[in-house]
Amino acid sequence: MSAKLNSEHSIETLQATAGSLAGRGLDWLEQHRAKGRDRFETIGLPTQRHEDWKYTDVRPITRHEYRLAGFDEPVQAPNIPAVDDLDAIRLVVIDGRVRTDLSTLEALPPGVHLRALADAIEEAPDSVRPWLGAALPADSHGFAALNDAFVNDGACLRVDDGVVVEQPVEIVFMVGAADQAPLVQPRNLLVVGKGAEINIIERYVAATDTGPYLNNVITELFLDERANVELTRLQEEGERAGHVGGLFVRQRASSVCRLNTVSLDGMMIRNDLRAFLDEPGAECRLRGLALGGGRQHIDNHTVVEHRVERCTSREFYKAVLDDRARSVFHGRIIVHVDAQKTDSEQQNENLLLSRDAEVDTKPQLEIYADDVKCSHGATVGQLDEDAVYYLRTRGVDEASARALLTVAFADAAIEGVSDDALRAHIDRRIRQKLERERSLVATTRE
Amino acid sequence: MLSIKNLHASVAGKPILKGIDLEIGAGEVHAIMGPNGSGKSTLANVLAGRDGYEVSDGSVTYKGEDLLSLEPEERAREGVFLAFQYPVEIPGVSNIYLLKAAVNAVRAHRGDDELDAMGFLKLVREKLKLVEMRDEFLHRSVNEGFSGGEKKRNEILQMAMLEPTLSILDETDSGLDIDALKIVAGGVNALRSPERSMIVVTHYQRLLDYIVPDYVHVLSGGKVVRSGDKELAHELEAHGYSWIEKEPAAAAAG
Repeated sequence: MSAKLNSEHSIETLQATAGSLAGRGLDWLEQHRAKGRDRFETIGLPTQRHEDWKYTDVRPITRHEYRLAGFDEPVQAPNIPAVDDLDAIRLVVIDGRVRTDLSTLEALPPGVHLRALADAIEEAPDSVRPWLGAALPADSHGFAALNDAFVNDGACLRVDDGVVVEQPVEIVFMVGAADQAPLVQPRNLLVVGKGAEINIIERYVAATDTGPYLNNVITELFLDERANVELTRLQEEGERAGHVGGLFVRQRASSVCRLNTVSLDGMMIRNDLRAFLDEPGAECRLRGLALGGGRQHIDNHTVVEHRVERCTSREFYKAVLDDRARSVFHGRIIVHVDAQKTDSEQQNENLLLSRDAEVDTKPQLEIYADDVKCSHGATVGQLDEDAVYYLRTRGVDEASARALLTVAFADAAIEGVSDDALRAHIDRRIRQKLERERSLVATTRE
Repeated sequence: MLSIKNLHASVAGKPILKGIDLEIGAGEVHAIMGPNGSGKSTLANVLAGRDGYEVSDGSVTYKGEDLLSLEPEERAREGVFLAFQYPVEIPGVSNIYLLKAAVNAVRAHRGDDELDAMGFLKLVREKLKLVEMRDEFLHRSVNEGFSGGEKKRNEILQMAMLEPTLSILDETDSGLDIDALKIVAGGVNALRSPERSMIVVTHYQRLLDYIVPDYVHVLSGGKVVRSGDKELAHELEAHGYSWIEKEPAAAAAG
């Protein structure tokens, strides 16, 4: 049994492909899923008629015959590509199911609780109930509803008050090769206590030779007072993959959150990032890099809500596009009427390496308070020819000069990644990809 | 070293250079002076190979080769160096990275091995002293946020690292206070040698008190209207460019 996501009976049909979901019999959870189902059936999948999806046509990723993944016999230990020199606590999620056998959970530092959401639901449902869905906005789209409808497994992290976690936590999401297009729906709950500090890495990778699949992810992240969290989402999906990634963050007083979104591979990527600055003094720093080639489509849709006074937000997104790639940036900043002394900056910079690449950028400020400092800016351009010339007069050949300037442009967007090994990994992947793109483009032009 | 004959060049269809003749021998320092718009910077960029500068007539021969047929990077590797009037800021590329890439590109061209990390560092530290720059400059992005003086010193640092045989200094004195000017001039003078030639493009005579030229040429309307020794620069200082513009024929004859 399988279903196209845009067909009328997709929920029923998908339901039939699902095995037993965690927490059967828990009323609140059944209601949560039922609400998701109803909402999906009411609103369906977004179309380009919807303002927030104006530049993204999801049909290429919804037309496949999907089956819900993660209910078959677990695959044998696949080869998971590692980040060189990364020293991290690791949780592995394959086809949406946590694999403790492949994870390194035996030596968790005191005060760090990391487990499968499915296990938490079964064994300690009351630790899940207050958080599940609590970061999602009421107006979330059909993909989020679909995730809600089948909530089951993913990473469940709790960091106790005051605990400073030295090692990063790396959560690797992998989709195994499959005959039929899998729909993978991880749900992650990350709850960080008062004054606690942690660096979380979400890495999405594909097994080699994957066909089409859809990763429909939701992460909910909660920062208690003075918590300090860095979260890097790195998307290295399969060539034919779709990725719809929701990241919903709620911040309490004086918490600091740094969110890095790095989109490298995947046919169509849509990121919905929403940060709620709920209490005074909260600060969030968003950085993003979309590196598109071929016919890739990468859409970053961000909303930062300044709900109260004295919160700070910084947003810095970049895109580098080659060939026929397309990128969308929609950055909404909402400053509520009580959010005086808001300090907000947003910048979106785009570099087009090819005539056929396209970028749509849409900064959107909604300010209802009067004593605020908000700025935004967007640029779209090519490489600085003066800089190319300058480098050439220093003996650097033209192709190398262009590559050097492109990497320098992209690297500025990953400066917020504090772990050296991870940043080096991303930098390497950027270089490899640009190299590949350039040689591909060169071959097609010859 | 360098032989420029009847050079005509235009930018965006507008003729700027209208027949330049210059002979520069090994080890010589030539100053090129002239009012704004006389073609000084155009000449510097034509020699360095900038796109968009159309050479319609004439020739430039460098070490017996047709310079104009070479790409900018090939000219650099052959020993031509342009110190920019407005050095370009390159965010995200560190000074040290650029220096390493440049030095190794030139070395590879000469058939030398790449410098190892220790050898490179030793060399760069030595050259930093020459322009009185601190180590931390190496790790900043190329020219980004540099003051005018720092940018110009950075140009001289690059020049010192690449050890060119023909250096073209395009208004290196513009925007410099007297202290920075002395440092820059000191760096340039340290590089003077019998096998190294220089073209010093400047609007003012001031720089030439510190970098004393063997020859001075005055450019006006895209032509060399007068040539002489360093005394010519002082005459210009005393009379101003109008002296030459008013009587180009007489001045040229003199």
